[in-house]
Amino acid sequence: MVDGELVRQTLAGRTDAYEELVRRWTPRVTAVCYARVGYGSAAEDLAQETLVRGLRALPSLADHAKFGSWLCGIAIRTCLDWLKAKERTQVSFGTLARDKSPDEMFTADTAPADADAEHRDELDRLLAEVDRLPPRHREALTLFYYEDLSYQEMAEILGVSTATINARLTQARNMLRERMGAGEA
Amino acid sequence: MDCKQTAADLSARMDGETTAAPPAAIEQHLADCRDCRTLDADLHKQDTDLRAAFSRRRETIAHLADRVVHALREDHNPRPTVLRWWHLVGSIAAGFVLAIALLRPLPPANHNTTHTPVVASMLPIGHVALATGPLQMRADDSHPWSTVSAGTMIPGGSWIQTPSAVRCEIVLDDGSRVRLNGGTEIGVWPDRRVQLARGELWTSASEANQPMRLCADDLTFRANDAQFNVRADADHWFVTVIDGSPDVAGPDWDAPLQVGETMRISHDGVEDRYCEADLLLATRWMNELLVRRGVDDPELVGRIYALLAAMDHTQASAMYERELRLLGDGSAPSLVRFVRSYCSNDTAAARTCIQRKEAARILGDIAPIQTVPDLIELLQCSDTDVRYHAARALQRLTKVDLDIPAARFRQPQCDPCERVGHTWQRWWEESPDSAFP
Repeated sequence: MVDGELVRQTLAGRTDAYEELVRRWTPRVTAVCYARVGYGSAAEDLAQETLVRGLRALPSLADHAKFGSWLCGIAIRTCLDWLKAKERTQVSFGTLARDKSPDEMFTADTAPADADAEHRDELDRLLAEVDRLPPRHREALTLFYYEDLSYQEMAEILGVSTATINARLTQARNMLRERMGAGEA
Repeated sequence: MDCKQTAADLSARMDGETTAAPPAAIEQHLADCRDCRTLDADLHKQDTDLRAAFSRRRETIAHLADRVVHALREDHNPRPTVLRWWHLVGSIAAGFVLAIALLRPLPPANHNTTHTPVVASMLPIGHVALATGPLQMRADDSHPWSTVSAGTMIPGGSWIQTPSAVRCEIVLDDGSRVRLNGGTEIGVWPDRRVQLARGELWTSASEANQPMRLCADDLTFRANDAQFNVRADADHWFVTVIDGSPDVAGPDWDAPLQVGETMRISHDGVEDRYCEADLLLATRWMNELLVRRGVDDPELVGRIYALLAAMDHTQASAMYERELRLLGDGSAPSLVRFVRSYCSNDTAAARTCIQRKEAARILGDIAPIQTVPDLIELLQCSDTDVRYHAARALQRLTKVDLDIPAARFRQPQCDPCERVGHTWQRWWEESPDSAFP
């Protein structure tokens, strides 16, 4: 079922329709939030908040087919508000019952049983360097690798040209290459 | 082709995107440039590693989606012990009857009336952050009031009322705060709209794309990044603006509101306006709530210091002192900090600081048992008045004086005083936990 139909069903009172939209768009929304504020529980809180805000604001969505891009816009605004305020003024979803914190989820037991420990450390270091990239470069890289988006899709989300996306990814990769050591990354 | 452009094209080619240069040109450059060949290999290796690294983070997303779905389901079927009127909701097919039970007339602006925001109105839009006692909440006139307390989530479209002796603070999702005085009733909606049915409220409207609207009968107060207090009285409303630039609109008029002023407003417009002599005293009804936010709450501490600063032996000082005393234990830590900050400061200004002496005097009367260590420390203050009032408080709290009146502590030299100080210290260290509230 396409997004537009799920939106229509949600507005008609079917909350399970919105649940489907949540499952469908959580990865993208989370990627946007990670890209904007960095990896961590704050980004996940903001992603959850975005999804709930989306439900509240659904009646205002004019073109139901554009739910995804509209929701990403909400995610960006939510992240910007958070970055601007530097305080959790929104309802914190840290109060929601959760089995594990993001850090606890991201543990060795989620990695393949035969994963090479040294390689895992290398990947951890790589991710740490990603998190240290300048915001716009981290944002582009995170969106690309999290969601496997095309340049055009990323350009629409971020409101820039595909050439700019290409430039940011190129520069981000070059910075990572330098920091990780040329020939080792 | 230069290497810089090639780097961008290699990146795009790896991503499956269109390159600026034709593929053949890229291949030719790679054949001629060892550095770019190395770069290409490195990028592919890095790409593989990045995909592996991000795949691990992506595993958390499934859990995130589950949490959101769970939260939505909980909001759709909230805990009945908190809101009894949800029992009716839980037993009826989702959405349909709920639309009838919860639908409230909403302003025509910003709403698509062909889509009933049934699910949206069920979601919480804020919570009761503080309350001095139990308060009541209901969906609309057709539902009975349910007793709720601090921590309760507030669904959009709810009505809240406080008994005459209860005050509360509501925090909305947009960061705005609304404090209700006793005997107040309001309605709250998701679109930053609050309806004042009766009573008195203070609000701090956060900054947002659209202003917060406080509706009272046919009046609408609009505020963005502003603070004001509104009290309803028969056909008049008294508005005191503490910060920002809100405005008010009636059926066919509107008027800006000025900070520092109190205005009497009727359906016909602003009937009277005057400078509010003291914003602290105008909103003193909130002090009971501020104390509950904790002794270190910045707003409480700021208010205490403001009251102290206003105490300058004028006639009005008695009112400020009264407010400080009414804050009770909640003001003691701030008063101690205030006094202590001057004790080690031997400047002329510090020595003659009226407020320090007044703060010490008030502490002498109201300091609670928890401040005993601080009071013992204040016995060493260079200000004899501070020492005297600290000794008064210690005698009152410990019932120990060793026949040395507190007035002796006003003397520059008081050898026996040191002995009493040690005794109080021993008393503090040896007192059982039951001695403390």
